[in-house]
Amino acid sequence: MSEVLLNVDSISKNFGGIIAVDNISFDVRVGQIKAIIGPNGSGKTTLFNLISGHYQPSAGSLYFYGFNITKWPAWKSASVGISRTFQNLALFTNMSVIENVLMGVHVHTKAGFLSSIFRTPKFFKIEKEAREIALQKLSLLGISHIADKRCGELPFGLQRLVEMARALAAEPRLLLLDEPASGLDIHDRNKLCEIIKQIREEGVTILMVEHDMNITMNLAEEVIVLDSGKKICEGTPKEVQRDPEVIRIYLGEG
Amino acid sequence: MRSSLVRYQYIGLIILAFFLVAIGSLVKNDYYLNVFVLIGIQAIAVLGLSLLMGYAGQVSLGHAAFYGLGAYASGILTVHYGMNPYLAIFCGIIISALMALIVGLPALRLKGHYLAMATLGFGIIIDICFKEMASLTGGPSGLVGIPMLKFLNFTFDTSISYYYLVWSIFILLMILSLHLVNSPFGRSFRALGSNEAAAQAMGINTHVAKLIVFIISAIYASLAGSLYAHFVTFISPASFGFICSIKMVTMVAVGGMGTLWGALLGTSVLVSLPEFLTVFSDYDVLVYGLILIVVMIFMPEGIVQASLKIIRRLRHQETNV
Repeated sequence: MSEVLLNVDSISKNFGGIIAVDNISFDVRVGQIKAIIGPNGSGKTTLFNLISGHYQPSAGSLYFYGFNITKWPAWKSASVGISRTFQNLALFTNMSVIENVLMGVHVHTKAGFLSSIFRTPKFFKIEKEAREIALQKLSLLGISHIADKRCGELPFGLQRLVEMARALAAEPRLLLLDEPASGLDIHDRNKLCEIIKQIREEGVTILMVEHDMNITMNLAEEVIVLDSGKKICEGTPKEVQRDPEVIRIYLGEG
Repeated sequence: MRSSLVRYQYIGLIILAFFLVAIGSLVKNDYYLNVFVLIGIQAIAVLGLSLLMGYAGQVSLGHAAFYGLGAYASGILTVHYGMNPYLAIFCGIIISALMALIVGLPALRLKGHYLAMATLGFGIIIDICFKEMASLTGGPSGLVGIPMLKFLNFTFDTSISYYYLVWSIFILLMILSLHLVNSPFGRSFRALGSNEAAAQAMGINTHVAKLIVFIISAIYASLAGSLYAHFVTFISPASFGFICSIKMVTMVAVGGMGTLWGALLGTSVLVSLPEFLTVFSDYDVLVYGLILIVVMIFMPEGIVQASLKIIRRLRHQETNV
């Protein structure tokens, strides 16, 4: 078994009196595709926000490559290689596609304030390199032809891909995909599966939340099932599908 | 496309420069020249506010306070302490930047429009200080005898010389600002104005980024205030009150958010409008208000964006025909 990339250690999150995530623990190993499933309101997105640093946990710890990142804000987690997409898309609609993806490269650009406003040769060099990375990510997802379009003008499916390109542009070690297939038609879903596999081939570890069982069972090597903020079961897709508790949640109590 | 967009902006600047030289050589009336000088001074302050509002998505309701801090720093340090005017301008900038840091540090930590509230209070406090610290500021009756700017043996004592000075500074700041918004640094401001959570996911420390833009905008305002003080040589608190802050916000909004040209346009329109409206004599304020309402109803994104939209639509029609 490969090295542990992310270790989630009995993490909890309360909002007032509501316990959204209740004492959840699991590991994500380097090179894995792992999926989190569960009914609506089971705490999947909250768990994602905890991992990405957008929420601070009420209890428990997070370790990334063995480093304690529990209290880290989102920008800091992003800078060490945790990238994410958002369930409801969070593109910068006032920018073009390439500018959005350039924002992804931002973590690695070292152009300072002064070299930016005075346009030193260093600035042009860094800008050019960033642009190359951005274009490369766009062509990986097959959308380099829309590089100069404004994000707000694009159809939903393409916006999803732009968001994924932006997350990839940060060259993450861990990619968090929050419902990447929602809002996509069957054709785009198949394409998405291919893309996710390809991203993994490039050495990126993927943790995803996904409702579409076909995609989850097709892609994921391990699945975690959440219900009411608790981890119900964890295992390979086959094991999970046979688990009586999971069947009860998804098909209702007989 | 984006690089050509930047090139368009440079062409715009060259056109602006020609236009300004034309005005400078054609307008001989000192009164009108003074209006153009005041537009230039105000436009520098509004340019900074435009970076804050139009790009970082934060509102300052106390920007006249930074404008005032610059003006009074220049005034007090030169009149009472005989300091070199350029050094005084620099001191004003440092003071304003520090004040912005102190106000922004707690206010920008919170999500939402807390900066607007904090700057509102800050503006009122500073305004009271200008009025009450009479031994330094001259109180409500103002501070007189501020020296004019000199360069070697040349004194900027005519409207035309100051006109060229102010607009040169404006164009320089415009170039720097355009570079800023089209750099990774500037993109991060635009990102946080657009979607803060996503900006954080891009590794941007949004708290620090907002603070930096706020400080930059305070520096612009302070510089403008100093230029104002050395031009009119007399300052009083009336020029730096709450209403002035609101006017600056209006100039950004009318000109257009998210475009630096909007700052110039909004300032030009709102500063010169009262001059044209004198034909309505007693009703000028009424007409002024009416124009603002009409602009905001029909061009909610401001004049620049609305004009660009019309141009785009016309072009689209042409290609369709």
